[in-house]
Amino acid sequence: MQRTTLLAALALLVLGAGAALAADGPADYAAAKALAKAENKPLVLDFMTDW
Amino acid sequence: MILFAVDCEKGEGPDLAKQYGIPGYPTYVMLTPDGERSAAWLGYDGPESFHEKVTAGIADPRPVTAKAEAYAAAPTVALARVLADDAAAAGRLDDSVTYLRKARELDPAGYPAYTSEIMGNMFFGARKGQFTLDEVDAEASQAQAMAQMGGLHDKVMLLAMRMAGLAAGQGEPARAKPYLERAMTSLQAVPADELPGFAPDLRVAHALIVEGNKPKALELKLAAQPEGWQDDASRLNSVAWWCFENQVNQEQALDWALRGAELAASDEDRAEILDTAAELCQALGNCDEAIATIKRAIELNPGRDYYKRQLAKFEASKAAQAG
Repeated sequence: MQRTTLLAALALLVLGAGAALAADGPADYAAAKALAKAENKPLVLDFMTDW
Repeated sequence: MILFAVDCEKGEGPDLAKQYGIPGYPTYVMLTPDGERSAAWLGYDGPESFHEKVTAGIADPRPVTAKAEAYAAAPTVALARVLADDAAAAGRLDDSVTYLRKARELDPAGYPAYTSEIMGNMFFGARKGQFTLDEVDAEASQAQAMAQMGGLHDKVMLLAMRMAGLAAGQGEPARAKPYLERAMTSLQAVPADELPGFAPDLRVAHALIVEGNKPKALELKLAAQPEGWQDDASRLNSVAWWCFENQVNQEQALDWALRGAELAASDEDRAEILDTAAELCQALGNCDEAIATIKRAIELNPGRDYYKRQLAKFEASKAAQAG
């Protein structure tokens, strides 16, 4: 997870939006979409890279 | 909500990035629980801005297509804002600018902020061919004049630097002259310890483009380098490339590039600096040396097709001279 991603996740936690972090969340895109549907929650995809 | 990181360089990442039209990192795409795109934005601008975008996305979960229909029927600032972000996050900077202009019209109090964002999108979009130099010039000259009236010296100077870069890249460096002239007035109005980090580059661009004084530009360029730059491969390459691009001091620049190649930490870096050296050889009229040098770059980094295109260019040049 790159720094901006971590900051974004922290921002959500601090501001109380209740994010599910990628680290303990879905393993891949399909699983993330399935989870969002099952829990009826919006999904935010964070397109990043670890360069 | 669920946050899922997609590494665009690994696994399914490249395909997903292509599918969503991701123009740069990071880009965030918000989907409804049913998987429809409801919002997207490019870049991370701090926790408050991120929270604002997520909150707006949750408050209006309609798919982007529905938002676009609603906007067409009755444009609002909020819809223009969301659609501008979404367009930028799909690489459609031209559409993004259209929405931002509408937002600026509907919300005059936000004029400076919208203008700043419009300029950012136009400079980015111009690199992708979505705006002509004329279009950027029309918006930028107005933006710089307003910044100057408002005493926003940093913005006046930044616009000049960005116009100088764009105009030079499009082979029309003189188009940046009025911007650089106004920027020098701003530069003189700001205390030395409050000048932006790019102030030395602004002076170099002014000497080169406005004054047409290459020796002075070179002197300023070298004075702006940190101590020990001649032992730093990256700095040597950067200065040598500047000399190549501006046709200044090219013989010495070739020596700097070759020294940079010797000092480079990796074969990839060495190949990149050899490309600079090859361009300088070519500019100095030595086609054979340019060809030999770019061949060394290809050996060091055979995976980079750009060097092969460079070789073809140098060989074509040699053939044209011989013919």
